[in-house]
Amino acid sequence: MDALASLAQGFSIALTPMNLLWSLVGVTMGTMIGILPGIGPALTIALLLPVTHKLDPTAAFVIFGGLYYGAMYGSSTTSILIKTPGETGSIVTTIDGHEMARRGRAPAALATAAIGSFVAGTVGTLALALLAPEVVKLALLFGPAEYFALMCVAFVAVSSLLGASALRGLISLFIGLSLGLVGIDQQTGAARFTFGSMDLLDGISIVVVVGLFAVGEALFHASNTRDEGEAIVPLQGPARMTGEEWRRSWKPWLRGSIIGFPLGALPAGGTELPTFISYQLEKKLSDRPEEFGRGAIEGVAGPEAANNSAVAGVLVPLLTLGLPTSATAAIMLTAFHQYGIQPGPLLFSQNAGLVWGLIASLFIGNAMLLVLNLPLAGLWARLLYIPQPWLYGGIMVFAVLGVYGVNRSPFELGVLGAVGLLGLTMSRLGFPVAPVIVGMILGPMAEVQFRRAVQISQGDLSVFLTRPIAASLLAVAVAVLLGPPLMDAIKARRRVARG
Amino acid sequence: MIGRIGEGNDNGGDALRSRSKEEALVRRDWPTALFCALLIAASVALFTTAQGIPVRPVDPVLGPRLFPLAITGGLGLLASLLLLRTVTGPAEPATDAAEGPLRWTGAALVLAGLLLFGLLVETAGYIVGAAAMFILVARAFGSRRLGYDIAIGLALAGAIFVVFTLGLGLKLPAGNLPQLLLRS
Repeated sequence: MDALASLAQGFSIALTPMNLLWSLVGVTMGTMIGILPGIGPALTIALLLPVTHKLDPTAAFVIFGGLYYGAMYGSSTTSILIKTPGETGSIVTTIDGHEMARRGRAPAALATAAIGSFVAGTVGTLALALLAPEVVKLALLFGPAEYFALMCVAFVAVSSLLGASALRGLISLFIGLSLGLVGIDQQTGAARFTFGSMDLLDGISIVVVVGLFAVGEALFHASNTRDEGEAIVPLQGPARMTGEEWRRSWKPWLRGSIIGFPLGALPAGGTELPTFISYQLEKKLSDRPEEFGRGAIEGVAGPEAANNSAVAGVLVPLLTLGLPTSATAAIMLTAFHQYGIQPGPLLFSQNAGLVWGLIASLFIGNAMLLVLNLPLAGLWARLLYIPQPWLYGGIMVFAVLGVYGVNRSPFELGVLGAVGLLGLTMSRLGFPVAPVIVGMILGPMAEVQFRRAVQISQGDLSVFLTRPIAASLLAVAVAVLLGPPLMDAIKARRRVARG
Repeated sequence: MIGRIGEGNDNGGDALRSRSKEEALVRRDWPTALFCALLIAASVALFTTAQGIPVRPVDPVLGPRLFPLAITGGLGLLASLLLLRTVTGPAEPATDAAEGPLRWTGAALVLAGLLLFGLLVETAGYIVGAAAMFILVARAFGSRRLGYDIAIGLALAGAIFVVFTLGLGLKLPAGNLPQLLLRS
């Protein structure tokens, strides 16, 4: 068992006092930002980049990993107590979680969410540890043409599988791709879309992330007149549940774990989709489907497990292929690049300590999170009493710190405001924001792979169609893009024929 | 490019502000149509700019120029398609679109806070600039407790300044307010 030996080595790294401390820092911050609506893991990691840059890479990724896991724990608290998801992965939890809270079962809803997250985090991390080395073997077969094709699948999946309209998703993606072009071309040194400005030469990725997520969110909520939010269901004491509730929870936990991991690993956009599927599945399998929507504990247990194991799943393509499938993973990829590390198959041989230290720290962080979230649930719930004006005031203060603190550039503050307005416009008009981030960060990488592929083939574009893996991946991308509208068209035609 | 998109947003905001209830009932989504039109204008401008990106003879398939052309061209086409659908057909479904009318003052106060930070930070320093922004953003969210806002803003900005400059070596501007106060 190669993976287990590597994992043992990883634990020897993760169990050093300093790394335990960083893990605790990461999971605590993660729980906090998970609970606070309006601030998520993608934004937090983007804001931390200038600070963590001074740490060694292992410490930084131990923090980021713990933060990503912790955010999934914390977000359920917000969903359950005030019916507002702390993160997108907990949207489903608002349905039955909040109903449970209104009926006085808030401690049980929080307990099933926390224990389910722990079970799923453990299952997911174990699957990550065992599967990643296998995916690495597969990834070694990949050349530039295959990577480009794979990234096309990610682009299409991220923009068209989530959200109500594939067209709006694709427009978001192309806005992101356009933003990603700004700056110096890495291969030829040509300046692109910089309009003679020195400030644009280095690109604008981090500013755009902060602008969209922090300033855009603040603008959106400050200008939204129907944003009063529900009353907070008060919570005292620890989260706990009855034997009956345990009995009803354990199967959804396991099913949620099993659904979340592969869907997170596929380039289908992270933690949202698996929670929806898990909820539908639990409803279908339940003896009492009529309880769903009125406080069924399975409707909390399944999705809350699914979102945590999806996070472990997201790390598989990120670490083995350098392929981000969520906005948070895209920012983590930027962090790797800041350290001059390229995730991919070679990461596992060249930076084995970092990878396995990170994976081991996820097991440890997951256990810490269970301890932090079960007995201390009541304490965390107090964060919900921070008044909205101060919460968003604080978010903006941190946003300008993250942007202005690094380069002290007034120009970047202007970009921050402009991107915030773009984010406001997009949110108001119903364009999803995540494809912008993925397009902006993955776009330049896709371009590098494309150009490497055609350099090797000496300008022959058929290389994408003659190599079997590349061709099949591109076929998948086309199917994901054209499949749903074609199905709709066929259904509509049948309806017309019948009616 | 950023400038163009930024301007576009101002216009998009104007359109949102002027959207009355009657217009919302007619299922033409004019704000989306306007946003698409601005995206098309931006993509045409960028597509034209992209043709000036230098391509060396050794670069296959247009080298650094190919992706800018393809991406801006694609953006223009997709925006045209959505514009066409918005103007002719039923409204394209939207993801989590806001329901209520836009409260313009809230957004303006947040942006004013950002602007104020930019104006103050190099002269008055990070603490004053960030606290001023905090107060305006709190106003934007309807805070009426000015005393608390000032106290919390200053405390938060002060704590961040100490932790990040002394603890983590980030160079935040201290500002010349202390000297000015001493001199007067």
